[in-house]
Amino acid sequence: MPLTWRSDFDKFVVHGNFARRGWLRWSQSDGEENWNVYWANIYTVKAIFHPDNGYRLGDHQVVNHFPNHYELTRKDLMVKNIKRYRRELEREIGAKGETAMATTGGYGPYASHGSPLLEQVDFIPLTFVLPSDYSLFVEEFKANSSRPSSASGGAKNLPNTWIAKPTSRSQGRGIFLMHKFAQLKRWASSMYGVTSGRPASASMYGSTAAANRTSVARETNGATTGETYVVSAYIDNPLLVGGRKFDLRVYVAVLSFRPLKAYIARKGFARFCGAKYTNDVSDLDNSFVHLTNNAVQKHGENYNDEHGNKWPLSDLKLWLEARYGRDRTNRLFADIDAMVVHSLKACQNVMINDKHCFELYGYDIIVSDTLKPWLIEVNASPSLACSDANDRKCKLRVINDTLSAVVLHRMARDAAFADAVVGGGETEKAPAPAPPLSTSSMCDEACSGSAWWAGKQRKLRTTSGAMEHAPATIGCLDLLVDDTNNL
Amino acid sequence: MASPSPLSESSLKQNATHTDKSKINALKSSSAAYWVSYGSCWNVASTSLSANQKSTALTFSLGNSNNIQHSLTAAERAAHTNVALANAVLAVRERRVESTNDANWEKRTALLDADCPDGWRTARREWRDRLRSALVRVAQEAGLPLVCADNAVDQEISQRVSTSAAAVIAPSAPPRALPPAVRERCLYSPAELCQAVLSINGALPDTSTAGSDSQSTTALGRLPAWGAMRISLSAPTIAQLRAAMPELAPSSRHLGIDEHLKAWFAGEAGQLARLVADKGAVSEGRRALRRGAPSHLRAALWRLALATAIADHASSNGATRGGDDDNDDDIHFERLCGEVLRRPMLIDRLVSEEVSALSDDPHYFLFEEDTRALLLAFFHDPQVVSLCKTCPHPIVRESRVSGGPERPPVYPPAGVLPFRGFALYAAPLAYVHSGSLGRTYTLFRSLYTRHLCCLHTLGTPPHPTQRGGQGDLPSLCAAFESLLVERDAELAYHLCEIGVTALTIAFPWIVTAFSGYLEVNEVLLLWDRVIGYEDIGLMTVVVLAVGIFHFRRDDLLRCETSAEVREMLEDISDVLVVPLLQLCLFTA
Repeated sequence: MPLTWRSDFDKFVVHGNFARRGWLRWSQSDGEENWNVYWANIYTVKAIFHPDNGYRLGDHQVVNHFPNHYELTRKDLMVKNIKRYRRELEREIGAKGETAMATTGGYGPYASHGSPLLEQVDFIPLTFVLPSDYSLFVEEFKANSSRPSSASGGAKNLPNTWIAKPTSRSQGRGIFLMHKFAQLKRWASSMYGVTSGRPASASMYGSTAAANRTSVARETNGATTGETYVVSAYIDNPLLVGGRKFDLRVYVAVLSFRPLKAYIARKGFARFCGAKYTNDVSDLDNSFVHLTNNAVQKHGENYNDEHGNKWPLSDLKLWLEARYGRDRTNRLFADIDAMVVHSLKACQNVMINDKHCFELYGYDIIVSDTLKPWLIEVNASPSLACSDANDRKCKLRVINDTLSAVVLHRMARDAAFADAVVGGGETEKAPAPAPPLSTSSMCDEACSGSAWWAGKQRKLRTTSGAMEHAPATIGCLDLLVDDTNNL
Repeated sequence: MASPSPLSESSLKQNATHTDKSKINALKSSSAAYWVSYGSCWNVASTSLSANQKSTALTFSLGNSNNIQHSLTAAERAAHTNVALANAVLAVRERRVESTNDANWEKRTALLDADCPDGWRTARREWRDRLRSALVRVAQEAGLPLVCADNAVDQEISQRVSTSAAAVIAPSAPPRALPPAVRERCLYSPAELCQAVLSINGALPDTSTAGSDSQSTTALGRLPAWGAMRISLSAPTIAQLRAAMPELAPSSRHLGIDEHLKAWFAGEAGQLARLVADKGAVSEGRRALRRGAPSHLRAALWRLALATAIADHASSNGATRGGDDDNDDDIHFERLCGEVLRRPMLIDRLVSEEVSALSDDPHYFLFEEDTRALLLAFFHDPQVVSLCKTCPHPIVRESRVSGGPERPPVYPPAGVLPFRGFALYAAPLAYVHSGSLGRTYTLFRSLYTRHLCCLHTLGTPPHPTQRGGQGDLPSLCAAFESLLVERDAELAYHLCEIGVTALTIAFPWIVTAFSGYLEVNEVLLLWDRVIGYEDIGLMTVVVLAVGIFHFRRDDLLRCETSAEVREMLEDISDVLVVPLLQLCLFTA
């Protein structure tokens, strides 16, 4: 009995994947609740889990978000959770914790700390949530501006620059950089009415300028909106390739928070700015230099439709190995893995671990020129739109493998689900293999040769038959963490 | 170190008293220049050898020699214990052939024509005329002379040169962009080149002198109905290739496949490669590359295996030895970039347009500027002509372009013409980080002049005496057709029947050595083998092409039309190189 799937997204990478598996598409006539796998948007998920809804998910059902995924994916809550996690670790280790305000060598609050474990957790830039942390932020801002711009080396760097992002908006909307106290004061007064400054024609820029200007106008007319912002130290020494700044989009599939079980995708991409990076203060307003969001960059003149300014992760790895050596490259990717695990652990205990849920997160990571990864944010609904053929291939693959992982996971742990999937009575353990992925030719998968070695590897690594151990790799997904047997 | 050469000179005489004087002279005259330029190297080597070893080496080299090739081989064998000596001998042996490569292309062309069958000669003449008229046509359409008058070396330019000429020439738009009509123009496309290869007609003089084992070769090569080539060329059989490339066997571990299966293998291969790179023996470098280079040591191994550093010393008269190579490379590169600024040519525009195509490539768009600087400098480099292994494009002489006496004799100075896809030769070098752009340039030049230049030239049929040599493009095409028939006769027959010329599909892959068709890492793994197998290296490209056809045979056999076949083979970006090389060569 094929599964029934339902989706809120009219995107090929979702539909194509379900169709390939031969699953049936849900239709209205099936009844609102008769589906097995629902690729929903966050609002639907919110509705599904709303207590007034009166509906409980059945054993045969899976949905692609956790009810309170925002603990990880809203910028302010993520920062809060990670700070708390960090404090807990410090207490555990017994290290005398320094406060977040401690002066440090890097951007992070803890960079100069001793413990290697704590160092691992130092992966978010120093961040304040406004308006609640406003006075702390002002203090830090002033302290920094009085300090000569030497913290991480030389006049090349941007002195005391901060990046402000609204917590609940996405795609680069409402983001701006500031480096002068006057800027901050103007903006804060218009936003929160903190001080009685004159109304701002705040330093907004790029494609976002119009939107911001209207909001500023609205705010100055009446009461301030008080939208929550996070303000972070700006990473002004990003690793550049071909002179341009980029961030990484890394996909992470979480199957369960307690026990924690997650896969990380080895396919992904780096998103590049169209313009060359510069630390020139006069270019701070140029979002094509500083913001890597695809939604911003695609309006730039250097945007290229053939590849959407996206560079495959595998190419980045190759380039890094050639330039920095294998060890440093491997360390970077290990650091990224560790970062993801810590960020998941940070909200492990606050997350509602509903067994019907899984989630495919999109991590945004900036790599510094010292090959240190910084976590920028986590997206609950990474873009499913495809800018080009390679992009589509990558996303198809990631979603395909995520679905495989989810089905395997649920079947192994939940007899009811297995019954629902295979229709009971059948001894078949795994779902029928999906036909090859390629959109352009029918034999890519076979031809790649990767199929057979992946199969070989899987056979090597998994214990035969028994399902307690999760497969170490599923397609392009590597097992990142599995605490199932540690409980 | 002592002054160069007296040692070698005197010991030659001492140890060779019993040999024919004329042989010594032959040896001296053919390679004297190189002995001198390697003099310092030779001294380094000699001082570290015992007197006994020295005399053995030289007695070997002279006593048993019927020709210089043999004597050098023997010397190499005797000297294998000493890295510097071995490298020097190797370099002499390989350069000996090239020393006859006069920079004067007319002489070279005449030489080539002399030992060429008629059909071949005709095809080459036609191709040459075609290129020449294409060049003239582009010049007319663009309304530009082939070479602009020397830019007065005004203050501004010399200023810019002194900062970094590379940085100046890298940004995209040349000062005056080409008119839109010419923008889409290239001198030729791979498809046109393919037609030129297929137009070569006629029989070759029997090359059975090449040996008895070529019987099977010719038998297979002479099945005209199976392929599109109209000339029958001797091509290696699978058995011969298997014997020539034993390292590719699945029984030995390879970077490109085994590091995925055994996590520890990457580390082990890295350590081995590090040892080889540090020791610095050219032949060992090549042997190491046959199993693939770890990406972080690829630049070092390529430099070593291509003998880039040694070749440079030869061309700079051995003036600087020691740690200055990097500096030399950079200075040379900067000088070339300055030349680009001083003497703009029409070719520059074409090259620039070629490179601009990279901006659409997801793997290379970030490296457009570096590649542009590299290629612009390349086409201005007069050393390319003399370094090229095979005769580059026969092109306009500079006198026609009203050149002064001090100017290089060919146009463009490199003697090479860009074609659609030329930028793909240089683009993968962005992933072979060798320290500076100057070093990367030198590496690219070695790679091109030794290997890649054979991929688009109609040179000569492989000379009967050059056994095992890969020849150039027509030979590679012939090898593709005969290997495909041998590997998978059923598939070849099916393709014939439905009227598909396999060669025209594989041709673009072969011309760019798969660059632009595979993932970058796979291209580099393939090029590792190309460099590693030196003389027959490009055969791996052909083998891979056959391997791809063979691997997709089930789907191809189901295809009924040419369009279906093409669609099936349109996207090969998922191909893994090493398993398919093994599949083609080592399965029963």
